[in-house]
Amino acid sequence: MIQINIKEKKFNDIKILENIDISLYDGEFLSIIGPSGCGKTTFLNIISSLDKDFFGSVKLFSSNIGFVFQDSRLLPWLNVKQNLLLVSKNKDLKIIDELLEIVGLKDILETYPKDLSGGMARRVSFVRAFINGPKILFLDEPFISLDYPTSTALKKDFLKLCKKFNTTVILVTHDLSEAIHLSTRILFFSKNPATCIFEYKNPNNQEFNQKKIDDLKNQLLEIYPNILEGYLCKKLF
Amino acid sequence: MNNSNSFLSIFLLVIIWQSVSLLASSDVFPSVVDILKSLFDHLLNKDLLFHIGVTLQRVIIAFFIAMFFGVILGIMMGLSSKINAFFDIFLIIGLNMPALVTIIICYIWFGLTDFSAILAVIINKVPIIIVNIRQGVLSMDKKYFQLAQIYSLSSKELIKNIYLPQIYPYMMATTRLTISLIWKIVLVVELLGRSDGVGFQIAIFFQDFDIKSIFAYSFAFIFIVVLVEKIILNPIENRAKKWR
Repeated sequence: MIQINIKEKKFNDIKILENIDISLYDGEFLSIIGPSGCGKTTFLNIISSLDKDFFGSVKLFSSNIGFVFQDSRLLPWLNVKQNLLLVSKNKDLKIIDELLEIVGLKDILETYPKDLSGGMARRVSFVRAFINGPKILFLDEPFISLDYPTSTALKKDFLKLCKKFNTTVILVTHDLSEAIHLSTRILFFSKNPATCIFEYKNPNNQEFNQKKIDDLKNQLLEIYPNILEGYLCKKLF
Repeated sequence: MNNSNSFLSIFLLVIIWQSVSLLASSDVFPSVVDILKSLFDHLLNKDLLFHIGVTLQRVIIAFFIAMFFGVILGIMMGLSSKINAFFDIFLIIGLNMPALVTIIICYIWFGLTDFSAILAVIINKVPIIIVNIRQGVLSMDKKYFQLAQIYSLSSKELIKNIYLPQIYPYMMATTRLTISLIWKIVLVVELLGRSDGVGFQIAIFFQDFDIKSIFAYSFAFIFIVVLVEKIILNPIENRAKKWR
């Protein structure tokens, strides 16, 4: 179980996050949606222990974590094999081959990141995140800047990997269709400061369809009508 | 292509030099042929190789000690603002202290010995190494540290795979700069207080106005420095640049 209780996070005396209280069960897939610059990445940095300068507490049930950043963040001076082995705990090439096969990559172990396409580099970064069979995975808008077919294929492979390792996932995104498609629960963040303003449960993370959109729209309209006047109305509907 | 261009430029320089020397027809501007003759004379007498050997030894010792302290201090100052604040004033003094003053003070304090000579070179060159390496550390991309943090990389892995590759271009530039600066300052140090080495020999030739020998010694030494660049530094750099 993951317990997040962020009372306050300030940056240069400006409040970025406030009163965020979330509990996650093992195997859950939580998406965080919010407008650009609202503090989603800061939130992710706090819960993944990259940022410890805040008031509150974060309890993770496992220290075996993975992280997929907005950029692929492969070390450009190491080839794919070296990049993956660097973070691998048991330095097992078999697992690397297996994971690369799941994401549809072959014969790229000796390739340097500069020779990979954006989609391939992102796939390698997913393999890196899963290399130690993480119990918890953090994703910071990992499908951003990928074209539609690449991002769709990668999401499919990503779900396969999550299933294989029964990973608990926290995804930060501003794409509602992505969140509905992938997650079992969606939290909506406000801005200045960011706090959780709405929760949507999507237990079987069924396919994204019009009924689901209408359902969510009605709930949002009913509880937070002002949201639809703001960033979400254009983005979501 | 690069090699043929280098040969062409050297060939042109030789032609121009030879032409000017023929036109000037003066002892103070010897021809290429005269310089080569002098070079062979000194090679046959074995004095050239001996003195170049002595100077090279001083250059190598001073270079490695200066790089050792310069790189460590540069990294520490780049990583810690407190250490940087503490040493910064010494760095400014070191950078602005005239080499001549350092050399003379070392000779007065520690005598006319090899120790003083090498110490003077090190004191003079460590600050410039620190400045370059510190800049390298400061310009490291911090986003890779997050990766190291998430995957709990060990200090060894962090230094080898995150720090050094990013500082590496600065290390290479500093190595080149330091070698070129150190061998020149070693000649001055030898000229002022040693009884052997290329610098000492040039001082002797100066007293005799033997400009052919001065050029012969200088070119021989420059040739060795270029050789070090081509045989040692370039291959190291090319190997490490493979990923670019």
